[in-house]
Amino acid sequence: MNEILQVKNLKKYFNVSGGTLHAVDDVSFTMKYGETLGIVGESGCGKSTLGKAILRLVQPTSGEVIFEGRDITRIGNKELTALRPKMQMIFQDPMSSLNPRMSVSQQIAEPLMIYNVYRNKADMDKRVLELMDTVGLARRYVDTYPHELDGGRRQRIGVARALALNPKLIVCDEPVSALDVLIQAQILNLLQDLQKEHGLAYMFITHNLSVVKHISNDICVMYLGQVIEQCNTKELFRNTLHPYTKALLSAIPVPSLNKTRERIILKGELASPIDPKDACRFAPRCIYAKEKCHNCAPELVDVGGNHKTACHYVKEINGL
Amino acid sequence: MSEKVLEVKNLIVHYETQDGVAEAVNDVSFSISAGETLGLVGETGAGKTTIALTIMGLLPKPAGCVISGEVLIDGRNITETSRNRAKQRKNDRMMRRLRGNDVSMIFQDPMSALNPVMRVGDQISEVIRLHSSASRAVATQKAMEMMELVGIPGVRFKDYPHEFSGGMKQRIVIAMALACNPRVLIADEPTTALDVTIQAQVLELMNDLKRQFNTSLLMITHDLGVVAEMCDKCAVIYAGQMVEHGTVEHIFNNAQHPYTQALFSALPSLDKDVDRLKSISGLMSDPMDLPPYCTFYERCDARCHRCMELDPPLTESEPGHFVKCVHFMKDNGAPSPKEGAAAAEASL
Repeated sequence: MNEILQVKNLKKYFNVSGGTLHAVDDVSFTMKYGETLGIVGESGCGKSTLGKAILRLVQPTSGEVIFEGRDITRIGNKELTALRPKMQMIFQDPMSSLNPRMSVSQQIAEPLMIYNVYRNKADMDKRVLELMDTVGLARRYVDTYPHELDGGRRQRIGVARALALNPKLIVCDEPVSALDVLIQAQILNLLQDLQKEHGLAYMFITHNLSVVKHISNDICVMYLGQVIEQCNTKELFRNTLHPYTKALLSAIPVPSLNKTRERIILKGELASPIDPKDACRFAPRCIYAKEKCHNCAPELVDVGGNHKTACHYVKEINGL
Repeated sequence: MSEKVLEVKNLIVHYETQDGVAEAVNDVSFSISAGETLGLVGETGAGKTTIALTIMGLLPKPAGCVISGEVLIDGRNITETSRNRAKQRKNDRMMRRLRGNDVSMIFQDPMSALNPVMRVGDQISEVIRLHSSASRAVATQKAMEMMELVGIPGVRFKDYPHEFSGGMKQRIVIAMALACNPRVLIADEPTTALDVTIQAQVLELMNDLKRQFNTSLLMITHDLGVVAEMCDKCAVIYAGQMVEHGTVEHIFNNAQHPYTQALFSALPSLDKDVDRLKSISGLMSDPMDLPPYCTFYERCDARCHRCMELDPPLTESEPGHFVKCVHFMKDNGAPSPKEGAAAAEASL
């Protein structure tokens, strides 16, 4: 068994006043042990909801999440509690995900206490210090509170807490977006080191394509709740197929003066995810859109080499 | 070069708090000519926003005080360093006339920059009516024109901010800032809160408008990609000091200060494959407790004994390119940065 996680046709709909909001619409993918899957997309495309649905922090509407060979979407609370230590999450903003009234050691010890891992406090304190060493947090901070620390150190607490119960899968929801570049580089290096050491699988949710390229083995690009392109990282950047991914790549400001890239500026903004009609959701902003795109939703199909994309005219656009 | 529209000379700004004095801006000087864009780059807490607020005369009172230095707009000094109440009030009155008219600012988060209970059209025409004798009808007309200019249909004049998306709100803020055709526009992280595709739209809009109105732009950002796209000159700020200053070609093709180099190497690249990012350890010095020597010493790869002995001045290393580093001082008695790095490695 090579796969740690298989997601099949996962859907999460929310009932809102205007109708049904399709936050995650029919998403499928697999993740292997010790590898990183990047989920990229703009705000509102459903990437965070996807992460939470997989951990069952929100209950999926339909579909399967098969974690280590077992569908977890329908299991009861008791079984779920038993599974939680294996799947953890790191949140975007460490300030709002940490309890401001708990010291660093209490924050890190909390999961250990909930799961009664240690009989006595001395063992637990030892483990907390070990975890602090693992994430590179100096031991002198053990009794400090989150407000006394900077963003990078706070995020290290978040990482230590996620690691406390020796998980196999960590969903990282924009873990470096709130950090400065130098700190961002430190945290990314830390996550990579931990992955090598503990064989962790990461689901890495971000809007930053250069970060996701750096850290991921595979990438899913999401647009309005759907995966529109999915393949190996190298393949995605070498051979971008979907017009949205192309526009996304060309929109990133590159810190270099020698680049004369063709800029595709997308018109308009994300359409509403409430009761979308049967059409390509990107069509209103797409420069290649034809009549078919507005009347029929494209399926995610493999165009060769395990490179999947959802576009009616992918062959014509890319001259395949 | 044409005349200088904005000039900042030896600006020193402190925040006086109960816990002590935070030296937020320490001796920063730069100038912007008409139609030129200067990028101000640095980490959180480096003092970028404080510089912007000082230019706008919006420093939080009473904590923030301009200790010394001058900010000149079209050659006219607009800072008041005196603690005399009457003088400060007079300066405040003058600033109220200047703000929005000669110099205006775009803030990072458009939602908190707009008044949520006021129609966007009224918010734009308010600026026009405050700074000109235009009648309500004329101001409304002008506000609609401004909205069309930034790509928002004039019929949305009567909508409230919450009815717009983030990108559109930022466009409204830009329309507001440019309504009186200011000489200087300060943009404080204008696209940080936006998605990349929307960011691309907003940056293009700003570039167009800048050219159209010949506005000078001070662009504050932590994104070097945005600087490469928008700016003519670039200044790197570290712990309230300017550590490197030059044209974008100088900074991007020949970064000389170790901090600037570290910033570039910490960025994951889209073109190259790197296994591990290069990062420097440690944190920026606390502005409450700045060392008397080079502020970057603790984190520097190229440090040597001389770095701890003096606070290096900003030195011109090549025409128009300034670096604040011992290694670029003339007759400094220090080894070149490369030798310095080798020595530092050997000592480890």
